Amino acid sequence: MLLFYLSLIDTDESKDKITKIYESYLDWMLKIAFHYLQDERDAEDAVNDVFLSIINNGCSVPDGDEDRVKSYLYICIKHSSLKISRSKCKGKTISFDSLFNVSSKFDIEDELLKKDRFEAMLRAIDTLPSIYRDVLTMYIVFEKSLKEIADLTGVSYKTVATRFRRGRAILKERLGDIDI
Amino acid sequence: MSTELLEKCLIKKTLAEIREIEALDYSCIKASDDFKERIHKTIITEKDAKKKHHPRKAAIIIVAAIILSLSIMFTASAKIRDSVSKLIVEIHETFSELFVKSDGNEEFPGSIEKIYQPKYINYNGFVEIDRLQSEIGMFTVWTNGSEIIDLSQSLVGSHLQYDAENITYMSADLGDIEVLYYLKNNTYTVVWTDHGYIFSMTCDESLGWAEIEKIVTSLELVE
Repeated sequence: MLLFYLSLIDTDESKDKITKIYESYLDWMLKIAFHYLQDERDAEDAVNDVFLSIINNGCSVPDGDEDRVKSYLYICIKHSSLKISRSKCKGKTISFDSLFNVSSKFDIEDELLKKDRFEAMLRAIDTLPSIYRDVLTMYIVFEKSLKEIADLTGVSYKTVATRFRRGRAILKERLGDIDI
Repeated sequence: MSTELLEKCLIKKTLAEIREIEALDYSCIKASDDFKERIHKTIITEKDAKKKHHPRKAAIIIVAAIILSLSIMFTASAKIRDSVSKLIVEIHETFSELFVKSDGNEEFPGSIEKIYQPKYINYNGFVEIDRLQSEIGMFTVWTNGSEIIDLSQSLVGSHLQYDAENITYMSADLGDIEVLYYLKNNTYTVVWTDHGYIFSMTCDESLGWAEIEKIVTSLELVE
């Protein structure tokens, strides 16, 4: 199967990247997708979609440590799984609550009392709905354009732009001088 | 707050989610041979679809071009209206929908044949950071570093969908353009028609209504 992936890729560098992902993360990706979908076949669909979207985006997987690569793949798989779940569950309840929940526990005054900005920022991000946080992570950490994020996650361009805007607005509201 | 710090926090939070899942016992989940075979087929299909895509797209464009040419010939005297009279809002349970009610006598472009962009935005410190164009719409994003504006230009036949929760649509006259708008989460969404298209802009509340008016009324044809 790897040969088929490689046949789609032009450069040696890109081939190395997709080879590494395939060899190191295939089972891990399946497990993440299974966690969200609780169905092996659906999980396989989600992973398949992620591989194709990565290839179609020039294999632009981040360099660096495993944590960064995993974070990148994780966001792609999570949203690919959500898309599959939505398509299968039209009209039913989808158990992706954690993606949309907005925690009401955040208290800006309490946070300002904490002198550690890192902790304050972490708390603010912690309360940010996951759908917004993921777009911000792809944009800020992995330097993806909104269109690339849309392609990689299977979410429409306009939705990505809206999530980016709202996520940024929430963070600005909670952290004030944040520069995004 | 530095971007570097923000990056660290975002990664840390994402990793925390990952660790939670990794702690669960999914040891039985492994890529099967069937899965590998299925991916194999999917990729071949993908490749074939890509090869076939261009001729089909070309055919559609040709047909569209013929239809457009004919319509221009037969309606040469019918002026495309500069603005559309009625934007309709339908509020559904989970979303709201905006579309143009046409009396059938008006002629509107059937594709994005002309692109309109606000002239004013370029004089206001905003820089274009993203653009997406398709046969049915044009979507552009600008930022000045702290604020972001996005503008979509859609065909008059489009039905634009928006959030419906806790939203009250209001109308306003900006120059000689009537817009519908709502404010939610410190973000304005403004919809109007001009030059035979529907335009939808979202921007931060902090941009201010005076600036919004300047942007809305400064649409001009991009060469």
